Amino acid sequence: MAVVMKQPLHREILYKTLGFCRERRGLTDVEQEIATYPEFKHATQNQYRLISFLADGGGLDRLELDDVGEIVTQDTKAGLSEDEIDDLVASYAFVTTEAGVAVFDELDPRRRILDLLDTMPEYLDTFARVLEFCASARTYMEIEDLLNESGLCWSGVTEDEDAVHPSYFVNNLEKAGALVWDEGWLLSDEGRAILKSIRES
Amino acid sequence: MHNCLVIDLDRCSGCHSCEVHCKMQNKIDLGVYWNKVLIVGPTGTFPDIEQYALPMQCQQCADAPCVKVCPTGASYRDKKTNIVLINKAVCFGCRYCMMACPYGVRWYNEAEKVVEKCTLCPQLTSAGEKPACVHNCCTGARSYGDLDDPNSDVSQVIAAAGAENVHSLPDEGNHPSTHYILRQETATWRES
Amino acid sequence: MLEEITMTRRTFLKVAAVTGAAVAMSAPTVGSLIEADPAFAASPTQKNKVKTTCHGCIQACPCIVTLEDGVAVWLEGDPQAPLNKGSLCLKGLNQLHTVYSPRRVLHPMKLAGPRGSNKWEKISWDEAITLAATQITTTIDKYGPYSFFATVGGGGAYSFMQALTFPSAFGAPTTFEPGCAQCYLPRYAMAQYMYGGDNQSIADNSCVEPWNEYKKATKVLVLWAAQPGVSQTSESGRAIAELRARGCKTVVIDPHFSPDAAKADVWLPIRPATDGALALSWFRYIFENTLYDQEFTKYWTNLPFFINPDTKLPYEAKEVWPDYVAKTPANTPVYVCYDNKTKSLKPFAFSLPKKSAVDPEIFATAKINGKQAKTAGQIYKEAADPYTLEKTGEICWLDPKKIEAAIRTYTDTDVAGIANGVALDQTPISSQTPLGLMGLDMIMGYVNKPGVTLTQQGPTSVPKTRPVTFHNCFGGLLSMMWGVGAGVGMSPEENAARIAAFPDKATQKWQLKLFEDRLGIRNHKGLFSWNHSHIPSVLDAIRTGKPYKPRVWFDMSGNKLAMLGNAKSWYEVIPEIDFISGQYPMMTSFQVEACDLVFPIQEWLEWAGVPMAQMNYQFMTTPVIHLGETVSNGLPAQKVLDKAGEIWGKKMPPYLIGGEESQEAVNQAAVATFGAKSWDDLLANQDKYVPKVVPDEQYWLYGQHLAIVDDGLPAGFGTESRKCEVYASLLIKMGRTGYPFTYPKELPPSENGDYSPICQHIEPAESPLTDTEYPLVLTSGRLPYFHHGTMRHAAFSREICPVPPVNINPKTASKHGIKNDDWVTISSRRGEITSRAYLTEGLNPGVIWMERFWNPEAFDSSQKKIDGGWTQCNVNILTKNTAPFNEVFGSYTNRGFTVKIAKADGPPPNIWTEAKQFEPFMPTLQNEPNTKWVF
Repeated sequence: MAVVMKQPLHREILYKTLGFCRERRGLTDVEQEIATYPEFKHATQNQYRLISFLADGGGLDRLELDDVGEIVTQDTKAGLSEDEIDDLVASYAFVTTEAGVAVFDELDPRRRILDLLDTMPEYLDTFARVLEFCASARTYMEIEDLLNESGLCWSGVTEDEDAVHPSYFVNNLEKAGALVWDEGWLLSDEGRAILKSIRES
Repeated sequence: MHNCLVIDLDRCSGCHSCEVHCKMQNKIDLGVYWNKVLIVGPTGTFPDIEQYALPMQCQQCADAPCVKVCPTGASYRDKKTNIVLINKAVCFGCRYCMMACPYGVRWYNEAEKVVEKCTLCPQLTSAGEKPACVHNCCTGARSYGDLDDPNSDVSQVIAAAGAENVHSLPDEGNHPSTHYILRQETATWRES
Repeated sequence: MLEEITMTRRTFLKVAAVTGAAVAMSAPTVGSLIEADPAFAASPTQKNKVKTTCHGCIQACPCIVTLEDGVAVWLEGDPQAPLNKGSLCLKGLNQLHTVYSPRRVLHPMKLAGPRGSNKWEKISWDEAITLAATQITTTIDKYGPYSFFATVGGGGAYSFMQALTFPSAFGAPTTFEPGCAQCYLPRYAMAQYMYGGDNQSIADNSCVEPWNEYKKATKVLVLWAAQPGVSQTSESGRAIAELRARGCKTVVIDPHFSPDAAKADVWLPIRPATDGALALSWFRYIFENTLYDQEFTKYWTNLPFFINPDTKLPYEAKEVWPDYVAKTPANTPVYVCYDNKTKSLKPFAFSLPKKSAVDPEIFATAKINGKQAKTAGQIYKEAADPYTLEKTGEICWLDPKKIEAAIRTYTDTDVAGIANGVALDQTPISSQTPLGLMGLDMIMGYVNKPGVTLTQQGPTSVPKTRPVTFHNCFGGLLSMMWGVGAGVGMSPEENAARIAAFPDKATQKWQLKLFEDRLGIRNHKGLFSWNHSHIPSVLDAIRTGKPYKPRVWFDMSGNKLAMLGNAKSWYEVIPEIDFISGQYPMMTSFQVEACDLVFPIQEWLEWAGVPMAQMNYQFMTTPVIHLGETVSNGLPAQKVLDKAGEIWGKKMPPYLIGGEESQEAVNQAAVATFGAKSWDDLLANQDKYVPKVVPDEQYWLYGQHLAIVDDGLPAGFGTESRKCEVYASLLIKMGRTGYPFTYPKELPPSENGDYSPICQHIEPAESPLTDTEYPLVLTSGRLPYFHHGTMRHAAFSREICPVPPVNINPKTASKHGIKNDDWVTISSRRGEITSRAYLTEGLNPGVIWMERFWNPEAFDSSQKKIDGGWTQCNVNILTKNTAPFNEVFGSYTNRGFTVKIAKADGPPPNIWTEAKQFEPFMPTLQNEPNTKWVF
């Protein structure tokens, strides 16, 4: 968990990687998958390092494979020199550990979004307005204008201690996995689903 | 000629800078100190207390026990300046001198297997400069010069201080010639 | 030290050959100073000496570097320096080790593992700038400009102005440094508010008159919470040794028996954070025994003014006598006093005392406009009245007779002064105490006279025209840049005209917006003096996202985890920050635990900087050596800002970098300052050009307030009343509206009511008088081996002080079965640390004392498991960064909070305790070539 949450820029990537690797995946597959995540554009580390964070942190099992794709076990390695082991291992695969699956379940955006709406019922409308607005990609300035014009937001010193800036809503929705930045703020699939259920309720 | 240090403890703040200057100038290992600042005190009971700092290095004894016990003549007194020195080429590291020194200011150099101590920086004084600890003393507490010359810095500092304020470390017949100045208003000089 | 992950040196060279990693592969080039052609490697050693200035602390001792074949081998103080007189303390000397330390960061480093792993890869400057700029611009695109913030402070680099102007160039209001409200701002700003002049801080080079050897006048110096012998060892430490040697008496007010306390004529071991009570007892005694300077107090302080009980501001004459027509200009109001000559209320117009129509009474009560009103003096007297010597002795844990002896030492002479120190800033009474201490010097008339601390130096200190002051935001500098804020001592019309005349209305509007949106500013408007954010409010904003979330961090110096109060609360929010870039000459806890990118910064032997002054002497800061790809402190921000503009395709607003743009620019500035023909001429003839000296008679000036200025009136002081405002009425206006800083905009009033315009005693929130769970009070202070968070990786400092001792009175220790050198846990409501006990009678049994610390050995490669070294012995694990804060500045509680102690089983993990263990900190980079500057 700590590894996933250490750096917000990598949080969603690592979360999704845990999901992707619930079934065993080859290194190249994982790398290619990660490259498709919109969050990866602004990651500060390459795919291999991100995968390693998860593997070193106990979220992924790192499997060593021989040239026919069989797992190289400790038994196979027994008695071999370092060079011989190097020669034996041809590629890697990864599979999410039990702990990794637990983290993945806990970080399920549906759960995160519902938690958010539960803890901040007073902002339900505002959240819904932002989600609705981000059905197509929006710049932050557009969202700011939306909220400022609707009077839902604070800008400037006020007597009201609870007053917040528009970024507060974007931040919370992103952290919950409802919005994703893809050169503009856009609904995630989970965000879309929640918006639908809000509308229906 | 009798070259020596005089240290004014009314000025010394115990900042340890002389210790570090000495180490850097003389390339001394970690854990070894040719010059080490001790803090004497606080003595008394809070809040009626006093304290002074006491930089400790070779006391340049007039009758130096280290010279006497040295089996090889490595510890010797320079004839011209009267400074007690160690000829490392002759020292074989028996460390008798370390046991004989009443002040514990001699140190064993593990790498070279010889005993070392404060030399009063002849590499600097021979060029007309002051020892590193004197030049750089942050409070202007340290002076260096010839005790036999009434016009030297050290003689003048001693004269200005008044006899009652001039002290030396406990004398066991070795006659330490390094002088410390400490006025009663600052703190009481402690013999032990 | 830095792991070049996965690549051996050989593989790296192979890769570099393929990719053309130009920087890594380029041949070392030779710096401008040192000719070290490899062809002459076998030639005899070339020795030369260069003059420069030490930057081991915030004072700057001129020194001389000896180089052998381009390697700095020896440092010594410059004998021409008027204060250090050839001495240099061990902090300065440490530079020979730290500049060549194996811990140096010589190239831009990108994190190559998870945060906290201390795994780094070397990247090019271009990559580093692009990475930082891309992250900042993307974050701003995503969340708006307020998501950006910059910080500075922590020791070793002082880009104060850059830390303000860099965020503002991005349109962001958030900036802080761990010092500021906790270090110097309160004492600096309060002097500005009270008389528009220099303050009582020795460490910050504001108080220099006592060191004056041209006119040796100081007879008594009160060191209130300051220990120059420790903090500024070879500069002010030397100066105070000289001062004592020539017979000056000292009074030292310090809970800890500092080296300066040990030499004091009177030592008052005050209970931490009760200084307000002690100062009030001095007022009471001085008023009661009529020991104050009557003429100065009557004519040059605002104590005789009647204060409106409703507004808490002085009545102006026209409020009492509507038909009154003032003879002074509109910017020089006439107030109201009780005139002893006529035994009646009279207008009190500003003039030289001898030309005054009235003989004002200081202590008076009268009915004004139907209300009982008191003079400011009367208000002060009544506030001080409860603080008898006996009562104060009880509050402050002091002997009343000693308090009296201290006061008498201070009053029973004609030339004395108070010098104050940082301890006062580190408590929630950071505004009240300097109010009291400067107020005392003012009623004693210890102002603008030879030998006193409240003095101003140099030809420009004598005003010729109005306004005499302009003290909103760094002497008006930011106000000039941005066209906001009022000049104190200008009339409302003059101020309005000034704002109207500022041409760039957009900037004006935008800066006011940034002003009002600054975190925590509403309640702590004194932070406007340096334009900083309130640190605990920033922390809350990061944690909660309210009202907006700073989330891309550009740190410009130091170890934030060692220097910020309640460090754990900061560690906990690191995962909330998208991207953190740091910069420092070496890795610290903060870089290890938090940073994604680290820029390599010069140590001071590499700096080319502005000339540094020691009183009226100016000395050079000379770039003596240069290693790797290090740059000056202000430069990474400039490069990142340029790159951000490139990414956005727009011109970014100006960022203040102050002559650090290029080596050439810095060199030319120095050439001009010292009047040399060229840089080569200046270097070759340093003995001829350096120092540059302002003649004593043009520098040591007095009585500036008596000078007649262009309106025919005496200059007076830089306040609205032109008096020394012992009753700081500006604070009342400031708390209510933000005046003068946010003028013409009025901010809502502070939620906690008006700021106190006079000294106060406030019992600390965690008080040993009532706390049964944590019964001891902890205070901290410097040891002479370190400055701020620096030099914990300097082997010779650590040899002397491997572990920061925790000082405990033997009586207290014995209650816990603690003996000297035992390991001890110290815990507060925030956390627990471990250190080694030093039993000493130099401390009240109810107080313990410890220096701040961090342990860079905790991430040495020899450790089995590394950590950032900020949890083991760090006093800031214990400190309190929650309310109550100081009302004016928002200062939190770094000192004077409660703790408990217990015997520990042994040392904390990952720390070194013996001299020999510090061998890995010994310098190793002497063979690094001297390189050219990167930019």
